[in-house]
Amino acid sequence: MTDHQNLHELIDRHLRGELNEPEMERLAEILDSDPLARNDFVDQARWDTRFTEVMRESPNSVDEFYRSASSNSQFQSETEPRNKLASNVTITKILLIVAVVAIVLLGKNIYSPQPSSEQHIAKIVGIGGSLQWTGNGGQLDQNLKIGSKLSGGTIEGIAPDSWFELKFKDNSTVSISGNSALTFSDDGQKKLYLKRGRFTASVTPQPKGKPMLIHTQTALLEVLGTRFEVETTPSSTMLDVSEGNVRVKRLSDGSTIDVPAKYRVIASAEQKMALSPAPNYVQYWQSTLQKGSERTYGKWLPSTGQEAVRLKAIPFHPPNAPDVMLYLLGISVSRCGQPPVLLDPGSQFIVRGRSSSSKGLYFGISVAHANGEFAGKFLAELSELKFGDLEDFEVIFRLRDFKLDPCVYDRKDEFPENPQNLIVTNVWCFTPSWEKGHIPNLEISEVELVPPKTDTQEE
Amino acid sequence: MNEIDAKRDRILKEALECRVDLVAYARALLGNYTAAEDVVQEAMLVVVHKFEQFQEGTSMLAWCRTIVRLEVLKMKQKNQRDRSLAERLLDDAVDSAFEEFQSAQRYEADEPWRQALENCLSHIPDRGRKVLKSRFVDELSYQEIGERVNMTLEAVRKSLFRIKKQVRLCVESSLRGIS
Repeated sequence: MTDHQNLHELIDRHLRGELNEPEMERLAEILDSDPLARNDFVDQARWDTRFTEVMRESPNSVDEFYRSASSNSQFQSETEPRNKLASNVTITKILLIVAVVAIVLLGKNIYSPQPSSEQHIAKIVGIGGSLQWTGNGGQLDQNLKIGSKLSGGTIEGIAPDSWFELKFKDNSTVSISGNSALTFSDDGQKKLYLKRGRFTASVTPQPKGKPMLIHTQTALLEVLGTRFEVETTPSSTMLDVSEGNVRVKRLSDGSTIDVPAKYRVIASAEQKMALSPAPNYVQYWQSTLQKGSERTYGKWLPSTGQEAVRLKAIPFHPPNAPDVMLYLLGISVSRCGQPPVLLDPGSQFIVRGRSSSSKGLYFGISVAHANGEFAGKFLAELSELKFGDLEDFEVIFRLRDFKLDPCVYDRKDEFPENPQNLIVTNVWCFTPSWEKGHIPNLEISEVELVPPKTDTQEE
Repeated sequence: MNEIDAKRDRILKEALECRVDLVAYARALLGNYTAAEDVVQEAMLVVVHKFEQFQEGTSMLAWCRTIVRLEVLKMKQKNQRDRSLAERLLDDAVDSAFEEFQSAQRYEADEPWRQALENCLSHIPDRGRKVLKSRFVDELSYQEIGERVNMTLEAVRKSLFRIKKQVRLCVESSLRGIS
C-alpha cells in the first residue's frame, strides 16, 4: 500500500477507536510533523462522519439504494419516500437536541463542571510571561501561580517571554522558555513530550528500571539522573548534557548513543548521530529572518523588490494586565547545532526596523546559565522614542541598559542583577498601545548582537 | 419572545449548523461515532446555558469546538482510567489539526448529497456494498468484515480504500454537476 493509503487506513481505524498505543504514537507523530497530513485528517474525519450519518439514518440504506437503483422504472417512486424518511431522521435528531435543551431551560441545570479529582504530581516553582496549562481533565488555566499544584498535562509558552519551572515530588525540575510546549506525566515513571521549543532539566536519581523518558518528534531520551538541555524542531533534536549521562534513541532508525557530561548530540535523520564536545561560546549573533519564520513570534513578511524580509509585531494581551495591548514580536537565538551566544558586559544589541508607534520601543532578552538553567529575563526601554508614519530606525541597546523584567521580580533574589556573562536564548521587542483605536506598526528587519572591540555601528 | 430568548435561539441555530463538523471533531477525539453524537448533544446544552459568552463576530465553530473538547474530556474522565501518554499526544495533535484546518463551511443541502450518494452507491458491486455496510453501519473490524464476506484481511483493506475513494469522487463530481 502507498503512504497515502496507509495514512488513510490509520485515520479510518482511529475514527473507530481501533489503534493500539504504538499506532497512536505514529499517527500523532505524522500529524505533528506534516501539515498535509493534518489537512487530510480533518477532511477525512468530516467526510467519513457525514457518510456514516447518512448510512446509519437508513439502517438498510446500502441494500435499499442498490435495489432501488437496479430497477430504473422503480427508482423515482421508491427513493422519494425513503429520502423523506432519511431527511426526517436528521431533522428528528436536531429536534431531539432542541427538545432536550427546552427541558433544561425549564429549570434543570445539567452543566456543572466537576472539580478535578486528579492526583497532583508536581508544583510550579517559577513562572513568567504568558503560559497556558491544559490539565488531563481538560482544565484550561492561563492564570498559573507559583505554588500551584498540577496533575499531568501540557504547558505551553504562548509568547517569546514565556518561562515556566516545574518541580516534581522527587525534586527533579524542568523548565521551558519561549514558544515551547511540553506534555508531562508521572505514574511512577516520568514521561515528557517536548512538542516544540526548548527545555532544561535537573533530574534527581530515578527509580531503577524507570528512567525519565523524554519524547520529541525525532528522538527518545532516557534519563536516570542528570542535568541537561534539549531543543527540538520538527526535523532534529539537540541535547547538551552538563552533568551525568543521557541515552538518546534516534527514532528514524532506532540507533542509540550515550551522551556524557560536556558533550552534545544532534538526532536527525539527515546527519550521522555522533558525539561532539559541547561547543564553545560565540559573542556575535545576527538574526536570520531571511531564512524563514521558524522560531519566531509575529507575522513574517517575505522580501519584496524594495524591502527586506521583516517580522511584524502582532497584538498580545498580557494575562496579568488584560487592559493593556502590546504589539509584540520575538526571535529565538538558540539554534540546533549552533554554539551558545554569550553576553559580554560590553556587548550591545543593534535593532533595525521601522515603526509608527508614539509609545516607545521595548527590547527584552531571556538568558540562561552555562548549564542551561534559566537565569531570568531582562528588559531595556526607549520609552521616549516616538515615530511618525512608519519611520525606519536603527537603535542600540547596551547590555548595561537592561534591567530585570518586572514579570520575574518575585524571584529576583535567585536571578543575577544583570545579564552579563550569561547565555541569551530569546529576544523580543514590543511597543505598547494604551490608546483605544490606536494600532501601532512595528516591524523588525534585523537584530544583531555585537561584542566589544569590534567595528560597531555605535554612534 | 424577548430579546435574550431571540439571541439564544439564534446562537443555538448557528451552533446546530456546525453539528456535523462538531461530531467529526468529537469522533476524532473519542474514536466512536455514537459517543461523539452524545457529546455534541451535551455541548448544545452548554451552548444554551452559556450563549451570552459567545462573542459576536468570532467563529461559532471555534467556540463550539472548545465546548465539545471540554465535554469530550469530561466523558473520558468519567468512563476511563487515566489517559495514556500516547493518547494524550494524539489528542493534542488532533486538536491542533482541527484548529488549523477546520473552518466553518456550509455543506451541500442534505437532499442533493443523499441523492448523489444513492446514485453512486448503485454502481458499487454487491460485495463492495456489504463491505461498506459492515464498516459504516455495523462498525466491524477489518478481520470481522473479512470473515463476513469471505475475503482476506488485505483484500478488505484494499477494497475499503478503493470503494470509499470511488464513492467520494462520484459524489463530488455529481454535486459539481448539479451546481
